[in-house]
Amino acid sequence: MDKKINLIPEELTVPPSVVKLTKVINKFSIIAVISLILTSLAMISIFIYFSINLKNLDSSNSTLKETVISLEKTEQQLALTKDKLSKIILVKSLDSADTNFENYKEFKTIVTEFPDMSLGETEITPKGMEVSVSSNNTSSFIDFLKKISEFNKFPNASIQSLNFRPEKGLMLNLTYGI
Amino acid sequence: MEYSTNSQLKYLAKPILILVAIISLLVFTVIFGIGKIKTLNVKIQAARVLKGQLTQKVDILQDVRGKVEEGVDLAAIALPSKGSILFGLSQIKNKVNSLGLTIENLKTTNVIKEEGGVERASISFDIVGDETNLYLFLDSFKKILPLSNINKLSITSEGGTSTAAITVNFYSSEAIEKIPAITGQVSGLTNEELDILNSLSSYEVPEFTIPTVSEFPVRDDIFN
Repeated sequence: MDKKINLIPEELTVPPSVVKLTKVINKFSIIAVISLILTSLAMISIFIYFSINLKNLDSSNSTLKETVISLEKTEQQLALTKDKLSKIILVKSLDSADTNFENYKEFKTIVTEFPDMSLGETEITPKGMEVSVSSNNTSSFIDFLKKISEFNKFPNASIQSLNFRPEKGLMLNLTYGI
Repeated sequence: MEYSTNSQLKYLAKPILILVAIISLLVFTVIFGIGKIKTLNVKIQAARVLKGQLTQKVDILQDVRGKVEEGVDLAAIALPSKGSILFGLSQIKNKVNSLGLTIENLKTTNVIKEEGGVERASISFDIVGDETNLYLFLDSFKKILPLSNINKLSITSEGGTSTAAITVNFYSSEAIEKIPAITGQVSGLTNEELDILNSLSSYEVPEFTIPTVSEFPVRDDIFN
């Protein structure tokens, strides 16, 4: 039978529980070392992968920047064109007498339907128009009034004056406005 | 049998110290590694965003290249940086001559700044002539460059001959001086802008000269 021989001096001997605890600690240490190695490898791999990724991205960004520089003239032209176009849109939205001139032409067409009516001076602005019509024929004048009551190109219409002069007959001043 | 506490501690000290050292190293590696990876990841995300912006910019610029090459001059004629009154006078005189009208009392005003970076100068004049031709003349302001509109109009007609006192506004605008940095965003031409460019191509340009764009804007940051 084997016989255990203990050569350690008695004051240095440790209880079996401490020996057991030491073994457990050693096992943890081994696990920790393995974890450390694996973690380090993983970190290094990720770091290398990310570095390569970043390098590729930086490289393609440099190429793209060169392309943008080569397209600088187009960029300048685009910036100029867009700036001008935004202002062109603004100018086109400004009030002008053009629309009211179109309305005046329609009004004039109505006047020409009545041979006894004559159109006097007309002032057209972006806000509306002021027209003057006259006629020697009263019934024609009344028919004309009926007709222009259907003229709805302006939201507002008002009679400024209605006069009678022997040489011109009835004279009507109308203001159409927006 | 009694065990000495001192000997027990000595026995345990070494493995515990090794374990603590390894765990410390592991924690340090994880914290340091994650920090480095996070920094790299932030750089990668930024580089990806930049790549997206640059790719989009290159795509937009290549897409609009043909259109803006034609459009930039047209837009500059529609709204010149200066001299709109001269172009306007040229257009008015050409129209008056071609339609057989008579022009009198020609006056011009100084350039007035409007909102939105637009400037306006007015030309006032009286026109006498055939009514039909006068109407053609007045209608022509909708289709001539530089952009203009009738501001005030007074018409009287008698026996087929009409007289009109007209005030026409001609518009201009200063050219921009800066373009965005290389990495700055650009936007292409919208459908509305393309429609305007297409419609401008049907407008009559002034005959005496066609201004070309010589004042190109510079980049905001030349080192970017």
